[in-house]
Amino acid sequence: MWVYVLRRTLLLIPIFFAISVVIFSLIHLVPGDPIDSLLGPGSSKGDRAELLALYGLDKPLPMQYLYWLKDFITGDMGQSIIEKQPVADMIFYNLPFTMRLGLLSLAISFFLGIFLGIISAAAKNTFVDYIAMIIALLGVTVPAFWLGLILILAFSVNLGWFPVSGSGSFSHLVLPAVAVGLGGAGLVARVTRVSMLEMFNKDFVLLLYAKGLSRNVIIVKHVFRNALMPVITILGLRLGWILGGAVSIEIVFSRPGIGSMLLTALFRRDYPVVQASLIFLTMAVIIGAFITDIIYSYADPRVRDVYK
Amino acid sequence: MNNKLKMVLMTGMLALPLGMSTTVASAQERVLTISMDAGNAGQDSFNPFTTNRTNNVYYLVYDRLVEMGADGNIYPHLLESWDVSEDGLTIVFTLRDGVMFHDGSELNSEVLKWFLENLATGKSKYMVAAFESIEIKDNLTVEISLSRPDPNILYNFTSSFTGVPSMVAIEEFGEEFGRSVVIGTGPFMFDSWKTGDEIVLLRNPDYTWGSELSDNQGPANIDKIVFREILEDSTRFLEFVTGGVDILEKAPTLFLDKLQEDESVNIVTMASNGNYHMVMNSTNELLSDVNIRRAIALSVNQDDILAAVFQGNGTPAYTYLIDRLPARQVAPEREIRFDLETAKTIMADLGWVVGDDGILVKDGERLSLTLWSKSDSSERKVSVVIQAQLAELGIDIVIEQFDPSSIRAEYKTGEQDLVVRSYGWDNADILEWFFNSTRMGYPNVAMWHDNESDYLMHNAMTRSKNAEERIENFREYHEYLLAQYLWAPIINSVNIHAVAERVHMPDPRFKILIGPSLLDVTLD
Repeated sequence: MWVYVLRRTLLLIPIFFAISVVIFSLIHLVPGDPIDSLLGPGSSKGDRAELLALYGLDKPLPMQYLYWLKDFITGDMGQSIIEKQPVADMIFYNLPFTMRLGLLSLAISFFLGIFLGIISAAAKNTFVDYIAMIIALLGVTVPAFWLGLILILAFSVNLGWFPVSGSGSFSHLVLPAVAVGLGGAGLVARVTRVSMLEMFNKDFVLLLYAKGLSRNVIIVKHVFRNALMPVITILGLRLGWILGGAVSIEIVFSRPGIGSMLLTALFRRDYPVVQASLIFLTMAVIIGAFITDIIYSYADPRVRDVYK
Repeated sequence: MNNKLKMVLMTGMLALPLGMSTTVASAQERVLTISMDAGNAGQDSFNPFTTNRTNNVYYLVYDRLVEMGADGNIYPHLLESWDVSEDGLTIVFTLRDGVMFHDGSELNSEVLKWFLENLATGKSKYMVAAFESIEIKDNLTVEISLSRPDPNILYNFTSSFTGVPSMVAIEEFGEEFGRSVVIGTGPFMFDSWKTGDEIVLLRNPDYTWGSELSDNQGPANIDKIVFREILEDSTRFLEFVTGGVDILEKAPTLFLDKLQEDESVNIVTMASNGNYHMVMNSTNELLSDVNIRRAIALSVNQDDILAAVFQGNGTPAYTYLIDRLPARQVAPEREIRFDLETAKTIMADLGWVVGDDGILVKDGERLSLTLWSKSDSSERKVSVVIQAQLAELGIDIVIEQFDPSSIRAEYKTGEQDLVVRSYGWDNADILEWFFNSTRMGYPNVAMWHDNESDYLMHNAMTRSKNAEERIENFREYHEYLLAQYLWAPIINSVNIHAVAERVHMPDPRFKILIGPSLLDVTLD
């Protein structure tokens, strides 16, 4: 087990370097730079050259990358060119907002998705199944930003239950979390349903019926537990995604967060912020997948055996 | 798991009333919540020396030496008086007595000298480029020697970039000033700033130096102002209709009809500094011909664009400057007005004939041009209408869209043909910004390089001895540029603000709504 964990951990190092090269190259190859945003009216070419030199943007790209990498791996994410703030401070200011939104939406995805998946599988090809799957389909297909606006209209404008936007209290968190969470719930519901239906066809289920167990006990204690593995995989992969995947919801609900910070930085070509945020988000996805692998291998020895 | 779930739910249920109780408590304060124009969001700093972008907060935390009224005149504020010598080479500034910064330090001639000297080293240095030396005469008076007369100097000091910060605070806090510490003399004091979320200002209880443009020259009637940074137009609108914000600065065009229908909403329309235009690249093979540029400019129907894109809010633009500037008043024949028939005649005289597909052809070459615009703006919508309008003349327009940072970089390549752009500025010196031949590519997107033009520009910018001469010089420069048909003027926009019923404010007397005007605002 530990050999497997070590190998998977070591694999993260080349992945990090590959990602850092791609991200650094992409952002620097896109037209535009942050200097135009810094120059005041009447600035001369000399002023521009001075700023380029100040931020090291006058050096060849590979050299810029190496300087940036050296700082990054020693824990220095640099300073925002536009906001003049340490990038680490900006990320850690925005991270709690994103985490709160992400964790609540993940919980909604998990519980609602599993609930829909179970009732849908248990009542296969009935009216309940169809309704549950329509809800799941809508959750998967409806864009989160549109759903967000509809939720605002229904629960803020018409019913007045929740604030329209902002981030001050828990009530500010509910609608954005539902808007993001419903997408995941649809996915979880569909996977749960398929996985449970597969389990229903297994011989051990027939045996459990033969032993005289009630249908509810069989569903909850045996079928559902065995059907949970694919659901864990999905949720594990979404762990990383939720950190950066809620950009449109952060904009619609006017919430601070990593996604909206990244978008703003991207428009201004604030290279240090874009680079650090993208690496942070990408590594979050990879580490999410890594943790899922570990959990998976812990639960299923066949996965570990592959690496032996 | 079940117990944990219960805890989470209980925490949430507890947090809900807690959040509500905060709202109830704060309701006892007189709080004005403003959804700021999305274009003003994303401020990097509130230090006027280091930033090159400002927003309304600058107008409230800082005072300026002089103010510009809605009538276009300049009124004293921190300056009690100013005196310009006959040759225009010496200016004496006398400060108002008794003005204090939020940190308790005094505004005096030492601070004013420091302020003017720092301006000369910061992003706004061009504003004081003519200053040679500054001498303190007494505690409230400084004398400034200029290298040349600068009739624009008072206008510069009405700018939000020239709010006066505390010398003591900047020296004490250094780079931290402008983010966690912001100290001015304004009617409101900086309280907190959550980047990308909200900025909170508190009433300055010691304020007694409002300008003569305000009825109330003492402390404001509002205890707190919350500026919300909401980027999404739909959310801004919904916050307003649910009472989450009291003022919707620059109400989104998409919801104007609904806001105007609502009798409880006070719609305030103010002249803006905004001008939309289409730039033509004078180095392009076809567009280097002034006659083709003229034909294209005459094919742009300003009224139709005003109606289709701006729902009639604004005025058609026939020159490069906004309507209220004196240098805008050019000879009628220099105005660029829609005239499709003349445009067609010009193209026919140049040998262009209409091909089978309705597109002009000459020597086997179809007349096809690209039209650039930013992807996230009204400029994009304008470009679509212009595409149809130029098809009437017989030009095939291919629209290309860019994000704001990319398009600026693309201008520098000089590969643009036509570009829909806009600016917001209320001084004729904007002509220098866009047509100075030393700024080819950006901001001189027309790639205009012409010695006569530069000569007229220098006359207007640096050789005008007084205000009248400056206006005349700029008018001459403006007329010359109009005759080159480098732009097709489109519209001058207006700012439309939606104000909730509980907010009472007199007719705007300042050039902007969200600024010192708030001294006279009362809330129900």
